[in-house]
Amino acid sequence: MAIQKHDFEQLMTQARVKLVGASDAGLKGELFDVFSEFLNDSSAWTQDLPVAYQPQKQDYPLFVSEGQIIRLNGVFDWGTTVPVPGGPPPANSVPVPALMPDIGTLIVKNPPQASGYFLVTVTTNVALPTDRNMVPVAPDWLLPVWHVGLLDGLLGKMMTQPNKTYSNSTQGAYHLKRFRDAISRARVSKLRANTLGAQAWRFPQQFRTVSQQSGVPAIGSASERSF
Amino acid sequence: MLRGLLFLGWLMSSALETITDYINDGRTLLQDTIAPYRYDDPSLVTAMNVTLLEGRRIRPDLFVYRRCKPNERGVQSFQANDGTILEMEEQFRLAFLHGMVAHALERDQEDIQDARAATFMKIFNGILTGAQPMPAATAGT
Repeated sequence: MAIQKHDFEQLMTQARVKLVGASDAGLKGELFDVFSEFLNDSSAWTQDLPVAYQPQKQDYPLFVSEGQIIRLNGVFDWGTTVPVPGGPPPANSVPVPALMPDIGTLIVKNPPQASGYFLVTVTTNVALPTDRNMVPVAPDWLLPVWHVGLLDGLLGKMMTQPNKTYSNSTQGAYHLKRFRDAISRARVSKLRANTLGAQAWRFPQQFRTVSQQSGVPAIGSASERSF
Repeated sequence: MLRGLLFLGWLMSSALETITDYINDGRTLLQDTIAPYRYDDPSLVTAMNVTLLEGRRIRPDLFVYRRCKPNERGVQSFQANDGTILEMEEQFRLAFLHGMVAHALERDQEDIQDARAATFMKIFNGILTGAQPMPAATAGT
């Protein structure tokens, strides 16, 4: 779902008040770059794409209806279950080693032996063209959640333009610093799946030990190392 | 009709909307409201065309997202005082009015007109950029 008109108007109103002599066209032009930098550096906008796979076929094209794909986050094999984007994966779903050397083409490491479905998660960004009102096509949650940081980005980029009535390099640097801070917070929020207080990292489970000895070999055992 | 196509599609002010509005208000500033005019319509239309070109130089953001008519390219220009809408955001219309008047006055060779032309050009630049233009040459120098 695209940006809501009232959210966009709120952002533009704030920008018009603070940037004396700025044009709406100039604001929208700069806003595209603000969105692009925010989403690229935070990886906050992800989309789940169901992809039907065939036996012995390793490469699959990826398409998104909004924005453009910039990174591959992960691939899960749902088997014969049709994936539901955002829904819980089946119990037997497994991660699939894959790369995306050319943006928009998924290459899985091991060719599948049967037909089924992948659920591919990709990071996306805004793309041209914008809509007919020159508003970038972006998710509807972007402005309600991050409008303060995005406004800082817009103000910073506008104020650092030379020879304008709203030019102010000092204020521009201040706003751009706040913008970068908002990008960092958005990135962390995405990593933590928008939770409060949840841990962002846990020990890789493939290396975990379950014995009471915690993986330390007993003295005199065959696994004991000697120097 | 074109108003509905402009920018966000929200209604804009009808003040200084067409080339005719600019010329009529420009004549007030030029103190040339009684026919036969000192500054005829073609010369004021030319003055506006030139002012738009200067505006494109110093504020390209006012022009780059303009929806052109078929077969129309570049900065909008006018052929006559025919009521055509001049596509410009509301907050900058006053600037182009002053720019048009400044250009019209520049052809005169009188002390008062030189100073008035400089003043109007200063307003034009001030609204668009906030910067001070080069001082105009004074008579006898």
